Amino acid sequence: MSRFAPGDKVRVLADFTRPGHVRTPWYCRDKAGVVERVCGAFRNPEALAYAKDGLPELPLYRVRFAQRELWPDYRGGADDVVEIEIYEPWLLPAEA
Amino acid sequence: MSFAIGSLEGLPHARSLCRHIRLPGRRPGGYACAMTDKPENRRYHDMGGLPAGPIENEDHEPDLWEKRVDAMMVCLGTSAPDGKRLITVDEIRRVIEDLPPDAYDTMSYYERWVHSIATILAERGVYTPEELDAKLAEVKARSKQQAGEGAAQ
Repeated sequence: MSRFAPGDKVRVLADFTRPGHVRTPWYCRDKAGVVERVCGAFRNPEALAYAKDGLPELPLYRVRFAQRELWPDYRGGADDVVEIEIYEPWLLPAEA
Repeated sequence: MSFAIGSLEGLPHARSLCRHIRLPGRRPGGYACAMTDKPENRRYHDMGGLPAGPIENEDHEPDLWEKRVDAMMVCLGTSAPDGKRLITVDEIRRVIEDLPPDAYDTMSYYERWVHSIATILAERGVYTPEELDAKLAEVKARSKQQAGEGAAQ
């Protein structure tokens, strides 16, 4: 079961010190975005990276971020976005 | 582990053949991160958004040894009938991410793969570092001998 649905507002965990292999890019942590789609469920890469089985599978979401949310001095268009695939444990519900 | 980067010496011409797929040098001109950015905690490989200079778009034909590394990775990452496999792409990435910044910037794409494969197979006990060192010495001696024979003809 996935916790979020397309259109849900989410915020990436403000975890900047997690050790080991992490699949969530630094630049999107603690940033707000919108779930664009549920990609399915996959083994956890943070465990697979250490030869563990990575189970249970985790829901993976494609999250859309405004470029201006990610980069305060972004010089491109206001509508520019970037989409990042993020595993569920990294996401929190965000206020509308 | 002694075989980590030095093991590339066993691959003929590895260093000279693949220097064209290096990462571009860091240059000023990227975007600033928000207040939450704590650069001291950011891991070196996690460079999205940092200045990086122009991207080289030129294609190049992979060298034979690069193709071999690619093929080796496919074989090692393919599951056996019992569902087991010797390497996951996640492990490959983890080992590459653990490279020190100097090595990360100067090693080529397939050099990083070779380093990663060599490390993971040792971790998983496929061979010991001593066994790998012995094999590399053997290959190196053979290459040297072949080069000598070529020069004599």
